Amino acid sequence: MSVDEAGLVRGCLRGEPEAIRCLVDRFQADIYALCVRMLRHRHDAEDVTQEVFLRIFRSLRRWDAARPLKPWILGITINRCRTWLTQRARRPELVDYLQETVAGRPEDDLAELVREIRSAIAALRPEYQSVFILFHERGQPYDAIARALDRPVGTIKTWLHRARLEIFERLRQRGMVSEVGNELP
Amino acid sequence: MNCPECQEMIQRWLDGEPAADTSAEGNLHLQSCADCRERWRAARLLRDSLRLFTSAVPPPGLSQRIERRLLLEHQRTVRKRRLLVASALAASLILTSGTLYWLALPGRTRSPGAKAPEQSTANAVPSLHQHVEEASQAFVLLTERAAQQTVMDSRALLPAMETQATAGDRLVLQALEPSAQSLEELKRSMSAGLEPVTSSARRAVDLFLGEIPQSNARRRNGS
Repeated sequence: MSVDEAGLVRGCLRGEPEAIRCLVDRFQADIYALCVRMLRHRHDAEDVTQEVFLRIFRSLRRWDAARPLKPWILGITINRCRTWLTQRARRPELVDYLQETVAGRPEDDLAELVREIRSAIAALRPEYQSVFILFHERGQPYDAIARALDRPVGTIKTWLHRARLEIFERLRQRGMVSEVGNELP
Repeated sequence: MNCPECQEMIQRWLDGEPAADTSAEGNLHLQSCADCRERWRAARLLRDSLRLFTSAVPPPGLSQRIERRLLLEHQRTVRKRRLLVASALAASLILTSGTLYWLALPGRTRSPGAKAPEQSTANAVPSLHQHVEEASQAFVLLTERAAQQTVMDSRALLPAMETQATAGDRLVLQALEPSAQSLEELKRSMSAGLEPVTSSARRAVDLFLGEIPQSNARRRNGS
């Protein structure tokens, strides 16, 4: 936790436009990217990002100033995404938006591989999925993920390892694991 | 190296640790174990693919929309807080004025242990309750007195008639005996007749007096 964060939160609580702008600028990219990855739909991600900021803003008084702000914010984001996914699952008209979020278009095999891995991540249990995305895509260390999800570091490691094993298994079942490159780096 | 150790090595490698320390042992195990070899290949594919994953960039204008919503939310919160404070102030004012009004009521009942201030006792104005109570007592006394007076007058009439009667008159009195008897009956009947009137008047006044504290209490609650 930096002194800046405490000052930033105080400014937001006072309703200072500059502090609010700073909060949005600092966390918008992380929140939006996480929402896109978990929801796999850009428009939904925009809506949820706004909701997440609103929730953060309303809960700022409950933030523990002794802890860093980012894991706390990511935890709120993940919880909100899960709720959204649960609500979306009840709506029959929705389709799989997976294709919409493939950012680049790697060619041929690589594109297929990326799609397959994304599908495998999407099929993970929610807690495994959250940990996987936070670690591999958002680059968060174990302790930050543990704070964000309010779980011990050991649990986070176990979830991540199981998530990887499930993805390995899916790649193997789909015949995507070739007989090249056995050597360790 | 066995399979669990190899799996642990693969996980550490995906965590970002170099596998250099165990590469010789690991290579040996991978040559001999097909399952671990498949897992190792899958791990490499995963790590390579993850590099291709790019973060989604927030669309232009999203931050401005969020800022506007947050500022609106802050204004709403401030308004809500002010309304809450104003409501609390109003409630406390009403409560205070109600309490003061109740304290100022002249006929309010005091607790047994409470001691009324001397000044207020000295300057106390008789309440409606006291007025009615006094009036009722006066009315009851007046009714009783009137009834007794009537009975006494009736009683006084008979001995006077008896003492004034002479021997000669006794015959007349004997002749008048039915009238005397009727007067005696009249006395008894008047007594008996006025007694219920007095009792009814007393009961009516008691009932009226019983209503007075309730109306006072209602007036206090209403304030």
